Amino acid sequence: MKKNLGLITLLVVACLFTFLANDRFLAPVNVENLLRRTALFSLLSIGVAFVITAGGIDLSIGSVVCLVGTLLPYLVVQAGWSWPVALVALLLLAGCLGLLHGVLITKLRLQPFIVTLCGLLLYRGLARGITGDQTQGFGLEHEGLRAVATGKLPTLGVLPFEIPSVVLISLAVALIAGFVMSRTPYGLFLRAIGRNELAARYSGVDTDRVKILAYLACSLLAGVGGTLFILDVNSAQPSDFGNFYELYAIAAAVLGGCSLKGGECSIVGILVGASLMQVLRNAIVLLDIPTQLEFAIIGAVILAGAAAEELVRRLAGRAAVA
Amino acid sequence: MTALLEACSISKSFGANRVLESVSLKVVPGEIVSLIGENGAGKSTLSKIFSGITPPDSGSLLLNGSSVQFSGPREAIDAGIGIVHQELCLAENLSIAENICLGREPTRFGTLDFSAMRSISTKALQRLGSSLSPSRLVSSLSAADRQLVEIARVLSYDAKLLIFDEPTSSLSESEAHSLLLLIKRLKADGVSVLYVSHRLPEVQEISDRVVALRDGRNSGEEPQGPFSRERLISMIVGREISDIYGYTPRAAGDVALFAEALRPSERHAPCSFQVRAGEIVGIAGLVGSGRTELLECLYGIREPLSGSLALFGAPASIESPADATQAGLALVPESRKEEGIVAELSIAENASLSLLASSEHGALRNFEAERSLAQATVESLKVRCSGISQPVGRLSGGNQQKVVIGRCLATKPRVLLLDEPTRGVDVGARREIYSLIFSLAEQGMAVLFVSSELEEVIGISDRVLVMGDGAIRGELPRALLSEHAIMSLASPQARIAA
Repeated sequence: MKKNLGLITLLVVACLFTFLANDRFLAPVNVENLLRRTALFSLLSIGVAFVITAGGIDLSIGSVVCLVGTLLPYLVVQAGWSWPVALVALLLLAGCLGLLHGVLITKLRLQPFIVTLCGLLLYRGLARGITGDQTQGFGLEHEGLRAVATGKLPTLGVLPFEIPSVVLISLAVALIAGFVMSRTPYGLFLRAIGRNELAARYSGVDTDRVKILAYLACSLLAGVGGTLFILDVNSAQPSDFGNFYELYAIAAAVLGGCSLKGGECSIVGILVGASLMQVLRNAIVLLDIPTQLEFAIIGAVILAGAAAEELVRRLAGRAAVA
Repeated sequence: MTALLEACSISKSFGANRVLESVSLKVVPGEIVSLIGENGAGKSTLSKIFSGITPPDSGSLLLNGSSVQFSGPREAIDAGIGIVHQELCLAENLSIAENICLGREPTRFGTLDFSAMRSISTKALQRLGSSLSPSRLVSSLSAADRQLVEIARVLSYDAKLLIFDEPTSSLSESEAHSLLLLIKRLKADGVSVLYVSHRLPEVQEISDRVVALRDGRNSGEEPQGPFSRERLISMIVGREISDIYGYTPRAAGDVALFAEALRPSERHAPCSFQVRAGEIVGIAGLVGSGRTELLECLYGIREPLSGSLALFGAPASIESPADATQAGLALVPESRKEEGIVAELSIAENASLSLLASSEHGALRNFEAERSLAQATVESLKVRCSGISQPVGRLSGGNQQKVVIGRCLATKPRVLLLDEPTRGVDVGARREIYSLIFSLAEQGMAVLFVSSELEEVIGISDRVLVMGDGAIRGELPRALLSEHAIMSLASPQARIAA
C-alpha cells in the first residue's frame, strides 16, 4: 500500500480536479460508466501483469480483444452458433493463442516482443478478414447475454449509484490474481524468473512452464475482456476495436508498480493504475478538451507521474543513505 | 641492458583480499618472459597493472628506466604496451578494420576515412603474415583469426611490449602452434613479449626466461632454458598445505551416481565415473578443461551428445534442472550472482525456492514453514544477516553462498554437485562450508566437488578426477593426492609435440 501512495495521491488529485471543473463527474451515470470501463481495462492489465512480472511483454492484447470481440457476434448472429458454444470456443481460442506465444517464446526462444507484435498484426488481420471488415454486433438480440456486461447491481440507496456487474467479475479476477501472486509458489516463481531466470531454473523451477502459463493467463484474460467489451458496447468495427488496448493495459500495470524489467507486481497498484487511466480519459470529455488531444494528455500525465515517482524514490534513497 | 619495463615491489589488494604482495618483474627488449602460476596466483592482476587497466596500491613501474604511472589503458598503449586479453574483446558486429581502428578512427572532413582504415589494418595484418580481408565481419571469424585481429590491433599502436593473457585457452592445438610461431616472429621483429599461461609445454617452448607467482608473491625464476617440467611445477605449487579442512575418512556406501561415457560437448571425450553415497569426489583441472560442462550435463542444464546416467542403480533421464531436483540432485552453481541467488528476494524466499519447486510441495505457500526453514538455514549454516527477510543481495559473498547451499539442502538431495563453492568466499566461511560438506557426507550424501584450487581439492576429497581438455585424464586416490600429481595430469602434455 505504501508503495502505491504516490499513485493513489495522483488518482485522488485527478478526481478532485475533474470534479471541481465539472460536477457532472460524480453524477451516477458517469460514476457507473467510469467503474465499468475501469473494471474492463483492469482485466487486461492484470493479465499482462503476469507476463511483465516474469520479465516478458505481450503486445497482442488489443488484437485478441478484437478477434474474440468481433467473432462472438459474427459466430452467433451470422454463422448461427448457439452463444454458449461460441463463447467457450472463443475463450479456448484465446487460451490457445497464449499457449502458442508461450511455447514460441520458451521452446523456440523467440523474443516476446517479436512473437506478440506478430500476434498484434496477425489477429487483427484475421478478425478483419473473417468478418469481411464489416461492423459486428448483436442488434437487439441476446439482451440476456449482454446483461452480463451491461447489468448493474442495485445498492438499495446505500450509494447514490448502482454497481456495474463487470466490477464484480474484475474484483473476483483481481482477488484470484492477488492470491496467486502472494500466496502460491507460482507467484514467487514469476517474481524470481523476472529477477533472475537462470537462478530460478537452477533452483529446479520449471521456468518454461511458469512462463507459458503466464502468457496463457494473459491471452485468456484478453479473451474474457474482449467478450465483455463487445457485450458492453454491442457493436464493433474489426478495424479499430481494441486498438491500443495493449498499451493501456501495459501503462496501467507499469503505473501500478510492475517494473518492465520484471520481478515486481502489485495487483492493488494495477487497479489504481487502471482507474487513473480511465479518470484521465473521462476528464478529457468532461473538461471539454478536444478528444483529438486524448493520447497527448494521457501520455504527458503518465510521463510526469513516472518522472515524479522516480525523483521521489531517489530522494527517499538519498535520505535513507544519509 | 636497461629493462623495457620493470615492476618493483608491486602490491595490490581488492577489498580485504591481498592479490599481489611486493612482486617484481622485468622484461628487456626483444625478450619473451613467461609468467606462470595457479589460478588466483595474481598473474592476471599483474598483467592488468602493466597495461594500465588497474593501478597498483604501492610499488613502481619503470619504463626504459624512468618511473611511469598509467592512469588508464590509453596511456599504457601510448607508452607502447599492449595486451591481448584472455577473453577476446572485439565488437563482433563490426568489420576487422573497424575493430583494429576502434577508438582512433582516421577521419576526413569529419567522416570516417574507410580507405585509411583499410590500409592501417592491412599493414598490421601483413606484419603477422595474415591475408585476412579487413572488410570481413569479426563474427564470421574463427577464434584463432579473432585473436590475430586482436594482436593486429595492439601491434598497430606500435607496441614495444605485448602481453598475452592465456592466449591459447580458446584455440585448437594447431592454432596454438601457429600462435607460438607468430610470437617468435614478433620477437625477431624486436617486440618483447610477456606470456601469461599455465600451459607448461608452451612455456617450455617459447620462453627466454620464466617467472612464477604463488599466492601473489614471486615464487621463483628460471633465468634461461631449457626449462624442466618438474622445476616449473615446483615453482608453481611447492607450498606448505595448512590444514583448515579437518578431513576424516568415512565408509562409502552404494554407488549413488554413475555416468557412463557421458559426452557433454564436441570438445569433450566421453567421461565415465561414479560417486558413492558418503563419498566426496573432487574434480580438478585447469579453467577451460570442461569441468563445468560435465556438471551441467549431470544437472540437466546441458544435453549430452551421448552417454548415460544412472542414479542409485537405476537409469535416470534428466532433461532439466527441475528433473534433476526431482531425482535427488542439487547443484551449487559456479557463478553465484548469475545462477545461484535472486538478489532482490529475501533470504527466506531464496532458501525456499527449490523446495517450493519440488513436486512434493502443495499448491499454496506455507509462510510459517518457509520462515522456520529459513531460520534453520541461517542458524545451522551460520549465515550472518540482519534477519531472514533481508534481501540476499545485501549479504557478503560467503553468506550468499551459504543461502544457496541451504536452498539446495532444503529439498533433501542425495547427490550434491558443487561448482567452485568457495570462490570469492573468505577463509572463515570456507572453513564452515568444508565442515558442512564433511558432515553431509557423513550422513550419506554423495558429493561431487569441482574446484580450481588444488589445495582445497586435496584437502577435502576422498578421490580426485583430473580433467584436461574435456577428458578425464586420470583418477587419484587420497593417498596419492598432491598438487604435483594433479598438475602433471592436468597440464596438456602432447600439445606442442603434436
